[in-house]
Amino acid sequence: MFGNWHQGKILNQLASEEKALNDSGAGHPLNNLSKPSKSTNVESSTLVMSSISVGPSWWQMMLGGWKNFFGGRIESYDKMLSYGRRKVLHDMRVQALQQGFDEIINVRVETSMVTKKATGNDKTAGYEFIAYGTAIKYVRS
Amino acid sequence: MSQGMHLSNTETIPGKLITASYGLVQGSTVRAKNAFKDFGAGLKNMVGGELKAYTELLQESRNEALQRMMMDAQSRGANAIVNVRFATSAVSGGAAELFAYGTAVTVQ
Repeated sequence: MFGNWHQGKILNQLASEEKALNDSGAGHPLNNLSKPSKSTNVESSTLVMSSISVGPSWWQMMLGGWKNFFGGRIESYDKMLSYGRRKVLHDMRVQALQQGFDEIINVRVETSMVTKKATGNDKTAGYEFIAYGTAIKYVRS
Repeated sequence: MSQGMHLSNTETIPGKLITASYGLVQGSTVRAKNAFKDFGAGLKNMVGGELKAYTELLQESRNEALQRMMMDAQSRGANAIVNVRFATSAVSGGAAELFAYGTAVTVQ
């Protein structure tokens, strides 16, 4: 379906951005340790975050509904949810590299559903991903 | 972001010493999505993918929750907030509550 094609396209785009970043020799500054790992000589620190909301297509929602009846893995949602999660982490890494942070510690990723209606069937479905952490700059020796 | 306020989601401000603690501070905001934007997001939902209208709305609201938390901390005389956490919940059809909380402290 068209939605699948569109999502495949943005996933491929993200994959190539990630690959370009890796090939350029950029480091991986994100970790979820609770203390700065490389040195104790910290110049400054600040809270950084990145977020995105994504939604599956109507077609996928319908397929998902069907699958729910039989149980099992819902492949149609996989693509969108993994896209959202990878995207926030990628954005955060880009942010760290651009702003010259040495690392981002204690990174958390949270997921929440943003469009849930108490009654009736809502035609929109959205999931929000937010990643946040503490960005660190070390004192240059 | 308000000036001079250190924020961190770790238990200390890296490289600084905590001298006093003022307890839990919080900030929250409930935002409903705009009907027009919702319509746009509904259309976008046909193909799936990023829902930009929601992304922006939530970022804006989260910043507001952070601001309120910082105001709370400032009113207690703190200059930093450690162990900041975010929580989001859908309170009713089309509205979301964004909540930020942390511990207000003074660092040297």
